[in-house]
Amino acid sequence: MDKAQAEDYLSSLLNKSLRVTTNDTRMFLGVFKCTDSDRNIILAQTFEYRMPLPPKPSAGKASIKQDMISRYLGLVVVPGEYITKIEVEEFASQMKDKTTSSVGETRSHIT
Amino acid sequence: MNSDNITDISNGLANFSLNDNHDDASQQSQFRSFDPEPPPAPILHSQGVIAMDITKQFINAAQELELGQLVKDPYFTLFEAVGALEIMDRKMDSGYLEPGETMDDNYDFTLVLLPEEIIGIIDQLLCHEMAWHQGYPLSQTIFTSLYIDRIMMPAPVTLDQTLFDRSGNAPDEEPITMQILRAYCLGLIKTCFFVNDKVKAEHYYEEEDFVTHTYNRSLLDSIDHAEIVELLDKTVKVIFATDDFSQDMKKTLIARLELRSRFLTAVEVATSRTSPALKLVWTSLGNCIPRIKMSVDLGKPVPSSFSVKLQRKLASTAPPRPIVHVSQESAFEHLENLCRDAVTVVEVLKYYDSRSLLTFVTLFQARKPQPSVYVRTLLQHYLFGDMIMLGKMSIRQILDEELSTMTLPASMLLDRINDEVEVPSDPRFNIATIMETFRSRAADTFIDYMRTICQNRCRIRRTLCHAITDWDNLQLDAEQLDVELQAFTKEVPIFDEIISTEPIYSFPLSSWAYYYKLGQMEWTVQMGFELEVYQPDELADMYWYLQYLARNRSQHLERIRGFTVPNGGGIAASDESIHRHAEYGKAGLFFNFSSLEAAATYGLADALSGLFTVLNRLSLLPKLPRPYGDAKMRYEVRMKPFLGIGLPELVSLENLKQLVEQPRQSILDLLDLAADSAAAAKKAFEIMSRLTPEEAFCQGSHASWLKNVKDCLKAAIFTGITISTVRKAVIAAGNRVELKIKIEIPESGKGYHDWWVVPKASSLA
Repeated sequence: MDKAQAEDYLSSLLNKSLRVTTNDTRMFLGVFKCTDSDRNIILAQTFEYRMPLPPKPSAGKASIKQDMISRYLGLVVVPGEYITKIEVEEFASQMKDKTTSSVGETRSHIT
Repeated sequence: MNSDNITDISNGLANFSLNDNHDDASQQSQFRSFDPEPPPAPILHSQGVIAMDITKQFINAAQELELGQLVKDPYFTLFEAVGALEIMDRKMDSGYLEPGETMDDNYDFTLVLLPEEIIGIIDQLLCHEMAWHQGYPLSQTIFTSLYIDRIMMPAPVTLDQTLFDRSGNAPDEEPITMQILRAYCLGLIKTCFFVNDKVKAEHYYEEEDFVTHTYNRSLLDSIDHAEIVELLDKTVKVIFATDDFSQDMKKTLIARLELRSRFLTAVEVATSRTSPALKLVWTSLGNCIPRIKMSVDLGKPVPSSFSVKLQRKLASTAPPRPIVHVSQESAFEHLENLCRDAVTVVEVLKYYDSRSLLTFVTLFQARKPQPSVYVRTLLQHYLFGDMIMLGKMSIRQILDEELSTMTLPASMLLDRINDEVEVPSDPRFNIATIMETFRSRAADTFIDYMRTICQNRCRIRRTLCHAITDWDNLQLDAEQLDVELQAFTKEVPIFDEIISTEPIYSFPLSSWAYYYKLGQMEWTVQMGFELEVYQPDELADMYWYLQYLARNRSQHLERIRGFTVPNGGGIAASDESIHRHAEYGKAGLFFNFSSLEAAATYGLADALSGLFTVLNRLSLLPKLPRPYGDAKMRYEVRMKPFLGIGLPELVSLENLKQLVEQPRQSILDLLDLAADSAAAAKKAFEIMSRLTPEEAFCQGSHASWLKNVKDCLKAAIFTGITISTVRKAVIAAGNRVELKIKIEIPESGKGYHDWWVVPKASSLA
């Protein structure tokens, strides 16, 4: 990827919803506004999601589905050094035309 | 499944447009800081939305960027970026955890507490509640309680969902101590709900007076208060019946539940303006306090049931701040004051006349300590709720009474019959139209004025500075209407060669506005003394300005008087009646009272201005070094509120210096003049103190009005004493420069009256 392509790619993500996971296992879902060479990411209208504590061993044997705890934060900057994962949200309906391998994988899971 | 996808997407889209408009929809009043409710959190696992992992692509692309290069949304500014919250920064990120730290407190809610511990928690919660009333946010007070958090999350719809112990092996019967705590907590949250609701509905200053932010938590919105009161009462009965506690313990616990039940009832009833129980609910709440005060020692604190960490779960961009600790004494004191003020504020609903109403509000707001924000919002609600004054009167009634008391007694302009006339050629039809124009123009300004008085002391002064310009404009507009009215009233002007060769008309509407404007200008200066805006060496100038304003008001009163005596060339109404006499009588009383009050004001202001001038001359006042300013700049700052006002004319700095310093007068002459003024002021205040409530327009608040006048009287007396002490010292010193005298200037709140800064002179042995 050369510099122009890189800029195009990052610009194409602007104003999309990103899910940014940090190394403390929190996830931030917000609208992508800005980034730089250190991949510091600015997100607007951000929600923080956190895994709840594991249920007490006595609570049950089967794995219980627990919702993540969410909280509204607004405008945040996530410093690049703490980022472990970046995801982009796409509407399933709009992805049917796209033909990248990574999408195909997820598509199989919805249809 | 496919159809589900579509609904999900359309739901998602619907949410989007809602979210985008959200900021506009929740535009708050200008008196409140901008505080939009956050949108609901998006659901992560939705069929319509797919998350694609782009970690690698993103990192690779970002690496290609040059150092310092940004890829950004063109509409997103770096200025905005500054406000972004930095994740993983322990000072900014309220969700950041230290290594090894956990999010939750792992508090054991199955624990059955001792009654002593329940008392400890309840008393701590009361301190937190009062801290909130005093302006701290819920996040640092009540919301730090794990039990409160347990009740509110997830938001309950029924009381059954509020049990603390939600484990599988919870006992069938809730332990009694836990029921007490739960009932109390429910009552507390619901009380906060009513208080928060009331405060939010009126004008107040977010963060400055009060924090209404609930961090997106519902304060039991969906549970009816009656259910909670019932649970509180039921719990009291359970305590009576049980053998688990000693008699003392029973009484102590019941007292707390009763306090909560009464507090909840009080805040629920308080919003009614007609309930006969309005006063009773607050007195009965106040009566609970002594019993609780006495038994505080029985409680055993449970610090582990409060946690600073809970703030991480709140919708807030603020990092966790420490728990606020208000002492038990100050919490009780605040609650006692709240009850006392709430009982008094109900009195405002008893209407006597428009001037008495203003006197009441002004004096109530000047109480020390100032009534709490909640009580002040109650006052606003009683005054203007639903745009009906005091729940029974129109603003027109109040305005018309104002005008008839001041400038238009028994006037045809205020005759209600004018409204009935439908013939456009009839002058009465035109009068009604013009008066209606005036009322709709004046109503906002007048209501803003009353609302201003309901704010905190600093805001009152600040808002007054702007209000003056508003009244100046109103005066100009009213002048136009006055001229238009002349054509229809066929007013006969007065000719007075001494004043002017031109005919003199009464200008009743603009006269009224001008009177108000002058009063507020005086008030701005007086609030400056109260708030210690001025330095000691500026006091001579500012008191001179105060007397200048008061003298203008006095002269204006004379002018008004010339037009409001019966058959004195005024605009008379059609019918002769007793009513007519009463209105003239009232206008006469108003003139007498206001002239007296203005005379007292300019007398004392004159005396103090003279005294401070002498002290300045003798270099007895502390002079601060002011390397960055000069007299001209200071003058501009001090007079800023008055710069745009045409009438009364602003006195230029050069003239002001001449008039204040009076360089041609000797020190002894100045002191003699000041002594005369002080004596005149003293006499005026003395006469005032003997007026009846009707004569002084303070019906409904005579006691506090009288106290206020007596404080002024004391200030006048001690001004006289200081003047004579200085005089003696000056004579004793003869030609020597050194005076054997020390001058102290009392701080605001420590003197006889906050508006009268009287220096204390003591001779040095």
